[in-house]
Amino acid sequence: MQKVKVWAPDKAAMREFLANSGVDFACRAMAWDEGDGIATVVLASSEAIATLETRRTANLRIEVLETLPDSRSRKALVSSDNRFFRNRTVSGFGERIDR
Amino acid sequence: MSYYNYDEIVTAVHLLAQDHPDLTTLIELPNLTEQSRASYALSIGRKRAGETSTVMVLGGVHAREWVPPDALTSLAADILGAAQSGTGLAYGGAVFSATEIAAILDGVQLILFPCVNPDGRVYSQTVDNNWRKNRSVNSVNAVGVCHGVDLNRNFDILWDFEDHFLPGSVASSSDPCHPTLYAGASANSEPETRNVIWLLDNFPGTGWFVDVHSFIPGVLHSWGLDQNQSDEPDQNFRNPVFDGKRGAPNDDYGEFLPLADAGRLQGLSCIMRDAATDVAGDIYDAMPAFNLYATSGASDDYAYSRHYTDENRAKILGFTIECGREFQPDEGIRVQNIKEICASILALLREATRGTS
Repeated sequence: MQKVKVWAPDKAAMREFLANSGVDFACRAMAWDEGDGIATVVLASSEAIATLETRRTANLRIEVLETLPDSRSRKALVSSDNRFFRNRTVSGFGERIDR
Repeated sequence: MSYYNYDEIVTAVHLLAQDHPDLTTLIELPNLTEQSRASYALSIGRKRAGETSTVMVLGGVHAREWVPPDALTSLAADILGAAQSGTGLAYGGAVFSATEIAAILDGVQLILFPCVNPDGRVYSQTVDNNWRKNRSVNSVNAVGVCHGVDLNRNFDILWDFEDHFLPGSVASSSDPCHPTLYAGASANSEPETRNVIWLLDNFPGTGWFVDVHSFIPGVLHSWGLDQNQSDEPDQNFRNPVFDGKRGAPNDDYGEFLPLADAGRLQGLSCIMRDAATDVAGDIYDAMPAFNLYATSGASDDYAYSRHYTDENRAKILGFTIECGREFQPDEGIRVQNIKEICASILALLREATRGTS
């Protein structure tokens, strides 16, 4: 799965460009003004990217930003036991300040 | 450090409740998940249910978004630790004084529901890190079985999108095998959805609701159904005259949002945005949730819609925080995103406190 940035002149053109392409809009499909049009970021398989490549024009562009990490690499970031059984103190990331 | 697994989140909220009995109440939600997991929320503050000053915050609705449950667990620990030591809290450039933390604990009730979708989190952290939905079993003829409902399309707000929206205008699916957007067999069909509704029903003083997601840095507010407008009250989600006409930008239909609510929603979104941005300088945005597509069945719109469908219910201002730029960032960015979420929610709590004092 790739993270892909997509540009279009406006929302209607973006929707038409992405329609039935099989892209994943991450959490919510959000677009923002950028340059002469709008941009969004989607997640896309190689098949979806191929579909978009066939539709691209001068005003409809895509750029692959990165390959998403796979499950194996991300599993390494998850706690494998229960840290709160060992250390029964739950702490956050805020800095306590005296004011 | 590493991402919390679900057992750790459960243990953490139990420990916080045990260690701070004067300031917390542990809430066990009534519905077990498909895989029989129990869900827990934590009430923080000296106010109690029935008093009209509750801020409710959800995390972990979407399984692959690993940061929000950790952030809400951390926020609970930060607030309770600061209360115990009589200190303030700083997250980078976002600062909350000891007086403000004390006022929050005296003035509002905070309900944190760190992990709404435990089955999905376990599956995402152990099998498929890109898994978004819950793990319900969807019976499908001929194909077999597909799993999962997108909980943030399952709430009872224009859930039946095929009747209510223009074709192709809404990001939802009636396909039980859709990998990300299946809206479920019916509105509120999922136990996780019903747990959120149970909280809203049982804390009728809720006035602010935040659902924390990732990943495009921003604070969104109602409506996600269509573009907001404040001139035509008849154009609203309850009016069947507009069925099939909703969901397109820049057309004749817009979702009615009273001007005063529009101002409050946008104003609070900007305050939350600024606090998140102050943490590390990563620019957050603030805007209505309707953007590239309409959204049906989402939690923030459902929360805000409740006072329209039952006039006895209090008005709830609904928000979604979208944090960061990745679902599962490495440790440094994880911590930054956690701080951004904490700062944003504390900024809302500070405003809620001012509104009730």
